[in-house]
Amino acid sequence: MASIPYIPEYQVRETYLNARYSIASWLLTKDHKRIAVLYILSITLFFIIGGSAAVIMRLQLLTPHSSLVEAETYNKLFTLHGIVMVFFFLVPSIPATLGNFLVPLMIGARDLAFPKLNLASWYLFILGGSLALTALILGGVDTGWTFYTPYSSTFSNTNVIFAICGVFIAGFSSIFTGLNFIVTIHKMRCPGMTWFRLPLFIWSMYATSIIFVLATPVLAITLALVALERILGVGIFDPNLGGDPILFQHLFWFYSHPAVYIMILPGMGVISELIPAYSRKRPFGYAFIAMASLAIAILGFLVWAHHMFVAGISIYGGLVFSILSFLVAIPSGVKVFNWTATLYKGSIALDTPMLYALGFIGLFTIGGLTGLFLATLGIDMHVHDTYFVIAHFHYIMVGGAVMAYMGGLHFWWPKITGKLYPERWGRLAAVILFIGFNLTFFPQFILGYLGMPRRYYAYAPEFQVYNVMSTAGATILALGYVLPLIYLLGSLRWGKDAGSNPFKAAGLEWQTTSPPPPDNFDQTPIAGEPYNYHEMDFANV
Amino acid sequence: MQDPDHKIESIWTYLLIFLLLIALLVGTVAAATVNLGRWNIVIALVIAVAKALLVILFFMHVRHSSRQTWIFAGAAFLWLTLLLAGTIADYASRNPPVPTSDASQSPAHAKTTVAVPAAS
Amino acid sequence: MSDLVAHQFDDLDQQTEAGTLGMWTFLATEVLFFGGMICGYCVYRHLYFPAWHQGSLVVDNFTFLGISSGAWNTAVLLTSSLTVALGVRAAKLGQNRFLSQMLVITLLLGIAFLGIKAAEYTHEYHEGVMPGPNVFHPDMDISADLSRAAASSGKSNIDLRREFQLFWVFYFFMTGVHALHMFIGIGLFTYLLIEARRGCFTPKKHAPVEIMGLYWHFVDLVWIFLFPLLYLVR
Repeated sequence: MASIPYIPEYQVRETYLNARYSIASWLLTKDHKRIAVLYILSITLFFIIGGSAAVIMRLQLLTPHSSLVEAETYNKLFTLHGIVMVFFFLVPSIPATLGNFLVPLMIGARDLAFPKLNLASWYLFILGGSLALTALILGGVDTGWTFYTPYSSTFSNTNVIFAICGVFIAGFSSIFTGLNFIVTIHKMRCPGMTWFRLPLFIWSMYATSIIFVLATPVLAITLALVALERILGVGIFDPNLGGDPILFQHLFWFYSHPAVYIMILPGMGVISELIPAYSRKRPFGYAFIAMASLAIAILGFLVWAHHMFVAGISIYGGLVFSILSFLVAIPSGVKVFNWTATLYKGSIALDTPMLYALGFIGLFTIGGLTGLFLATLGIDMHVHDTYFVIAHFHYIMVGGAVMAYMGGLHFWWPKITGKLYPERWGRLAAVILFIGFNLTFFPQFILGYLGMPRRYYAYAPEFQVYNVMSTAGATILALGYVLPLIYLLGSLRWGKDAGSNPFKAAGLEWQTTSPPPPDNFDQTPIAGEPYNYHEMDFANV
Repeated sequence: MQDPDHKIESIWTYLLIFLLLIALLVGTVAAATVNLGRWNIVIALVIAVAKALLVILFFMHVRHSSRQTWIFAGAAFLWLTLLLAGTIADYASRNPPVPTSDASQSPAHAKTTVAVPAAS
Repeated sequence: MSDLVAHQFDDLDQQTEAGTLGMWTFLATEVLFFGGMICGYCVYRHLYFPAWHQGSLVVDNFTFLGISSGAWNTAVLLTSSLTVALGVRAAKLGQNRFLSQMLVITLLLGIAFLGIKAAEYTHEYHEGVMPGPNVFHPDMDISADLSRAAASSGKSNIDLRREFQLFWVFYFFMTGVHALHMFIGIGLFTYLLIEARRGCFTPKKHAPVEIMGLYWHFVDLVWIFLFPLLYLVR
């Protein structure tokens, strides 16, 4: 065989992807970037499972009294959809994927503070998810993802304990991730990286981590009490045996309301990165956006009983929690205004991540405003437990959080994989997603207003036209998710190689190669002012 | 962050704090033998908080720690207070249960006259 | 212990600060973890005071030398906090032998705590107050006290019995989770003792002792609150 001359320029550079190839090197990795990739794969699987449940539900709701599934099965489907989507997709999504990948890179560190704990987080997530899937395989759970007592603790005959154990364990995964982020951001910023030079994504990861750390333990102990009640047959939350179901709801929502901020804050952090990058402008009101993240995290702990307005809490409690719920909308509004102001007179490029970001702003605003409707006691009396609530939170969680995830995934795809995604397909998928989403969920606002209850497997005939629209939208939405799955995977094989900074974006993560080397930077960077788009010399970037 | 290593407490300080803690323990047990009505719980909790502060400030060295540590420790207890306050405020602000056997008046009375629906 | 400083850290100080902050963050999560139980306890104590009072009397009734087991346990844990603090001090000063001695005493005190707890649980089992459908049979004296308490508070016997059982659910759950944390603490300190014996700790590298000491103090703190809440309901 002819000898091949040694040409140093073509020597393969060591990246975190090719440093070692064995399965053990992935499953026992301590590299935050590999752990992020493990999470991306895992949550995609859970998204498919949770999404499939939704598909079956929407098919059932095509006609008023469909016999596609029985009533009990329908209950199991919406429970599965809720548990998987909330606990195993949305709560981990951006923090465990983009957060894990980007936090050390954005602050100029070599890794997170506790890499082994990070890996343990992933294993706990997988263990928790396996238990939840076991519950599914053994016949499902029908309590709703909210596990309201005494049904979940006394009367349900389904595999509640497996599901509870799954969520309990996954909760510790979140807690450890949040702990890791907090310590990393406090202690491992590179020289020059003061708090007010941090990227806004880091601010939102920090705020999210506060919620992870302080809210999740309460959920853990509450679910443990439900399991205890089931096992021992005592009456902790069962009124027949002296318990109080409202106590369960207080404890449950003390976590689960801040949990929705866990789901949206990271998305807002992504948008705060995308809007400046695709307007070529510094974010308007950087400090206000940063402080708004913290404000949302903290105020989000004060509003939990707005989920219980009709449950039997005192009227004074209702008043207080209603007012506080209005307050928590203010920092979100500040962010929306600041993003919009950033767009003003910016040099806008309507690339895929920007399309997702713009979609986010509009859909999140609608979702957030309808939250104010629900915070109004008088309106809530009528629309509580109807499709209005479902539309509200899907606008925020799907129109907001998932679109932000998609936008971020595309934006940082070159950094994570070293490959460029196909831009035209990206834009097409984003538009399809936007159309499908609105067609699916806008009719649900109307349905809820007209009185269609949630969690019902059948409905009155006058609601059919909106349900058909919603199901039609869901098929388009599904297409909007399948397309990226295909072309992103395809890009790994056929995509163009990305350089260090294909989008000419600001941020330390773009100052290293794509994909980054195992230790992130060849030399510890020195941070300057963030978002220096106004200073960038395009010829040399 | 200020390095707590630079200040090493003397053994006498630790012993003194320990004796204070034991004294407070004796105090709380003694107070429980006297019937002070609603003040029993107040005294018990005040003493418990005093003990806790001694352990936190001296044994856990928070006295010499950075403001960051103070904030982290304080935040935890602040959040606990939030949880307790919000929940108990709900119960405390409801109309006091009328002492009848009518179960709809309060969540506490378990004798329901309405048949509880069984799982279908 | 291999490398002094892990690769993600720039120097030992950064590593120590990160470890300490990490432990404080973890303790914050633990405050909320126990806090959930305490919230449930508080609500039911507010609603069911007579039953809580009765339960507390039974719990506090288990005595050694005239002092309740709960008070003994509190004294044991407070002493163990002292030995931990002295041990951390010894580690900072490089006094390895004294450190090992303090760790041994701490471990013994921790085991003593669990031993007293086990004796309590056994006693309570025999009194018939363990919650559960086939296990909860308060014995004769307790049942008589219960009936009297029921009569004086205007509730039915059945109601008070249910509320009484609820007290025991909280008692066993709260002290059980606490005992679990004690087990973990004993495990951590056994590890510390082994490392101390091997001479791993120096004034420069004493951080693990201090950090795990924080955990032990926290477990003591939880008990400082559990004791009056469960044993001294008057």
